[in-house]
Amino acid sequence: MKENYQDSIDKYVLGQMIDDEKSAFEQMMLKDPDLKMQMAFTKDMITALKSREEKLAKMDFWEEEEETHQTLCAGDRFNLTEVKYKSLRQSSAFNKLRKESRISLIPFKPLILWISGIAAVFVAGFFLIDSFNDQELYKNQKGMPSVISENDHILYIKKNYLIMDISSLKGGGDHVEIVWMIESGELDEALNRIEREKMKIAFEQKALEAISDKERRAYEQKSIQLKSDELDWLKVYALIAKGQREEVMQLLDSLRNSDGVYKERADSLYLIITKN
Amino acid sequence: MIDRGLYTKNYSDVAFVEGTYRRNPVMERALYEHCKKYFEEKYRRVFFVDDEHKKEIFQESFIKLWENIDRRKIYVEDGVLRGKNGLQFSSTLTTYFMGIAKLKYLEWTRGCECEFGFGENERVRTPKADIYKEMLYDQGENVMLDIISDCISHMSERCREILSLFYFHEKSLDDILVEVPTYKSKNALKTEKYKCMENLRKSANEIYRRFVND
Repeated sequence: MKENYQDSIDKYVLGQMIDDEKSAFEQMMLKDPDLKMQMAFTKDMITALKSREEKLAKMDFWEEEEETHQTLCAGDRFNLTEVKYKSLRQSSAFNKLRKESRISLIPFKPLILWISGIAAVFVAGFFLIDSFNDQELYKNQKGMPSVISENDHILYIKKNYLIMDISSLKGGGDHVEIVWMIESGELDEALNRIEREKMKIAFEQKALEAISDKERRAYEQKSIQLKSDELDWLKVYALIAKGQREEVMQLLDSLRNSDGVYKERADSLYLIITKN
Repeated sequence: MIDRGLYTKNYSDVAFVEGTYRRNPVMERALYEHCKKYFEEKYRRVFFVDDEHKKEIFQESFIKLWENIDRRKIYVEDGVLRGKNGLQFSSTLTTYFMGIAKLKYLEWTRGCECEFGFGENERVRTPKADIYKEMLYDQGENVMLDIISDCISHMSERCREILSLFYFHEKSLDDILVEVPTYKSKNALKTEKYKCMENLRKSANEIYRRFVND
């Protein structure tokens, strides 16, 4: 392959030669087998690149569309601060494809769907009475909260998304922050934070001994157990996202053999993973 | 926008292949969703990877399947799905797809020494598995195109970016210098582009020599 040939080949394949230049170059190719071979290779490479880029652009578009569809479906359950929609106008590969094949860039149905979704969010948010004190945390939330897709306790885990209803977490703002860490892919930090929260719970457990009131002690014990199970469940998701199957199975086994609120979910997930 | 119900339906393998070959957007999307669903259900039986690499393996495998349909490696004739040498397809499309995924996984783990290095310090390793030849490189027309496609998928991100910007997006070297500011000069970028192509050509020729002529 000769570097000086490549300049002329590039001009030819990109249609930058004038007619006379083009004819002369074609004559040259007939006489020079090396040039002809280099041209053939360049054409094949362009065909392969074009095919790949077009397919990737379509696949990216489908993924974005699917994510946005799922987010809109779950829109009334979360405090949506922004719709996570990567602007395809910035995707030059997709724009090139669109120009050539007239694919509509408006991926959604009528604008009214968007308006309805956003309106539903505001209405739901207005009526949502949150027992947390940390409302400010939600307002500053970046990106999209996770989408919950639950069908007979089967939860679908997507990369960097945690499927949790953060408005009902027992652990308060601390657990919400863990959810956000998992969502944004900070898995090691999330796991470290989970361990720290578990240590706090261990201290709380010890402090129970000082409570003389039986009823109050029982209530506090239950609260501690709920928070502990919740942390284990958060850990399951972080470990799944990390691909640590063995630890996931151990933790799920422990959860499904307990009498906690996550028993059934853990059982379902355990069976799904073993079946696969 | 395509009605979501259309591409979440289950179609026959024949419909998927013929529709995709005809560039029907519904069928292309339906095939994608079909393979994605199957992959999500089955991949853990085949290999164990984290989410990021799982996505990569799925993407590369689907691109390969799609290209095989485009290039008529699998095609429909008289309502029958046919594959290599015109023989009737012996498995389902999803099984075929997972076969590709397995190979892509092997490449990813480097278990079959199938990595193609680009750049001065990267070796070009020799591919070894015969199944590669069976599954991916058919001795049909323009096998070199298939080989080059595969090599591009293994190319470094840097090389792929330069070549895509130049040949697919048809940007000039000056424009690429702005988008990829790591290069100090137009000549440096031009040399890098040439090296990427040269290494791609060497790898493709090596595979061609080892697999097709053996």
